[in-house]
Amino acid sequence: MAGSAILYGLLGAVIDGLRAGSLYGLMGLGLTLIFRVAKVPNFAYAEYVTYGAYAAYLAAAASGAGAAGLLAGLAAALAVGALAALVSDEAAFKPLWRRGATPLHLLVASIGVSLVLRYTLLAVSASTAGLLQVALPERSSVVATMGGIVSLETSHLLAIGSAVVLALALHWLFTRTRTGKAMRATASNPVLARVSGINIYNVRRLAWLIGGGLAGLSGFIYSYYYYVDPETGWFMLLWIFAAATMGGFTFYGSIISGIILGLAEQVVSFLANTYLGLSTAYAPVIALAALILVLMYRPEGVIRLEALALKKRV
Amino acid sequence: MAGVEGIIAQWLVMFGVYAIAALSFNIEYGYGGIPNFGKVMFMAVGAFTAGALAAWLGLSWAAAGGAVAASGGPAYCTPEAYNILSSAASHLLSPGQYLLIFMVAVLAAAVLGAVSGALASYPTLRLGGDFLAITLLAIGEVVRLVAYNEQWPVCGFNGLTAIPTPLAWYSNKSAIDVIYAVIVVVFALAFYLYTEMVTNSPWGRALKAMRDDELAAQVYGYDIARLRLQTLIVGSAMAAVAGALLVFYSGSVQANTFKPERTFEVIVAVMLGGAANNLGALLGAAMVAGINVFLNTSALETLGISVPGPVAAALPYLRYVIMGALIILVLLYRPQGLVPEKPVRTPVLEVVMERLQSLSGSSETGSLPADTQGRVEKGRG
Repeated sequence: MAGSAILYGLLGAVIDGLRAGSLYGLMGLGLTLIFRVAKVPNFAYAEYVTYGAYAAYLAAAASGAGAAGLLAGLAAALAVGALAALVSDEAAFKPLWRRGATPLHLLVASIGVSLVLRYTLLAVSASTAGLLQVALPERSSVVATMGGIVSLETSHLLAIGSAVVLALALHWLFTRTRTGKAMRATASNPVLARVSGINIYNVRRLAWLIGGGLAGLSGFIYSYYYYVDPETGWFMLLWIFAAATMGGFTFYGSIISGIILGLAEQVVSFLANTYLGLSTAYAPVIALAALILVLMYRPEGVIRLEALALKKRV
Repeated sequence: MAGVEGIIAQWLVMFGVYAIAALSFNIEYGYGGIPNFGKVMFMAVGAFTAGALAAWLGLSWAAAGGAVAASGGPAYCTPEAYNILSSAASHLLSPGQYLLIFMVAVLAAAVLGAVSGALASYPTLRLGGDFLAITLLAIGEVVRLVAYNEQWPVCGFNGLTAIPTPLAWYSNKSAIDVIYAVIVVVFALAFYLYTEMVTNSPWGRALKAMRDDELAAQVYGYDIARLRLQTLIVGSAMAAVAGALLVFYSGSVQANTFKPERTFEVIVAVMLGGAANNLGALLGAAMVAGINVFLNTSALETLGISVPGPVAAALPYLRYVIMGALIILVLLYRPQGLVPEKPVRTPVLEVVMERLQSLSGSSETGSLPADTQGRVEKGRG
């Protein structure tokens, strides 16, 4: 009986790992897009996720339960995530970039933006009742169960589905459309892109909007099955960075690395807890170790599917 | 503890701690161009070392060993150890022993800080810029997570509270904080003079060369790997001492004191004051410590300012909003900081003599050398 309990636990860990990993990958997509087009290693990115989740909660709570609440929440999350990203670029990153700031300076600036966003939210939620922990009123519901222990929920389908669809969509946008071409041109050489008649400011703006929207969407999905507090995004930041860097800052790579990390988080910490008695509090060490090892030994990324595809096309 | 002088003492202690950390970050980042975003990790190493060693020494001297039974962790984590070292401590240890514990613990913190700095120089050989910053930040988080979840060395999430503070034997309890604040400030000033000396030396010039153009520095025969190793050893030992001094003030070590926000505070101090300028680092540290200490409900009420309820709830978070805004504003409008970088001058003696003269003369900011006015730091390639 103990054996089957462990088997079910393992299956549950795999399913939850897929969900968490898809979400890390989805967040990594937006980070990747912003990093590639605007060259900002954006520590404030995690805050767009939190803001998206909070916006989703507020909108859904205002428009009632059911599908209407979910739709309102989704729209609000997308809008607020995109807006937060755009505002932080216009206020901080673009002026610095125009003065020729180095990536390190942009990183420091993004830490500043992140502190402002996160602690403003903390200050507001600490002084307002009922805002310290929020979640969508319409919860993730069970689709199928197995042995009464493992259950597949709508949130699993939503997270995994949107990760796959959006990775495909972004890849298509980047490689098959004029806008994507302009983005790639801006990324590789802004001056030359500008000389060729590309409005690089519009391209940048679009990248920030899409990236922020992806963050807001991830926040929406996250608050669909979890409780969110003002520090939720910050706790996931190093996972997001790990997914994006492992994926070599490519779209497919980000999703695949995110799923690998999510599976590693759930499965390894489940096994270590079952067999070694190691605390599950060590799960973040997996992402941190992955981030450190990848940055030190393969800073170009481990899984770089899109770069291969691009090379073949050229 | 209460009262205005308690708050001033707290500010002085925080100033000293942040000043030492900011000076070390200044050597590494301001002069050497190494973005050590794991600064808090080295402070934590110092704090853990000093705290664990002090608790262990105090316990074994006071209880002559074996009196406290350990249960699945170090003996100093037990409540008995706390009782021995906090309330009855003044009868069990002599003043000399308290001071000896303090000195040994600070020294050990510096040594272990230097060792960890030497280890941390390994990633700097492979990486630079933003990737190096993220790597060191991540390593610092691993250290914090392990310390938070393990009983060894600082009692996990409960924290190590059985610290024999150096002045626990002193009968006038209200004066202890003030005396300790003076000790910390003396440490900070000593490190300031030391930093001035090493950065106004050929070594300091080599660091600047490495920062401005690594390839050119290599061409001129500097061993970049060795320079980075030396920089991180010196900087990390200093940060560890800062962490140790913090422990003996608060009388406890909590792993979660050493979150990445601390590193950001040190970065704010250095960028606000002006990178590659040690006076600027002191100024920035004073401001960051001020924001930390005075933006506090109880501190404000002691100073006679009443705080309404919702503001009081939001106040603990406000200081980080201010610091984040400061980072952005400084980067946008005054990237060289309040006190801009000035050229390195040797021989060292000349600088130190001048500094001493200006200290004995007037201590106004107007005593800055005239040739530094209007000199703007060049952009970092």
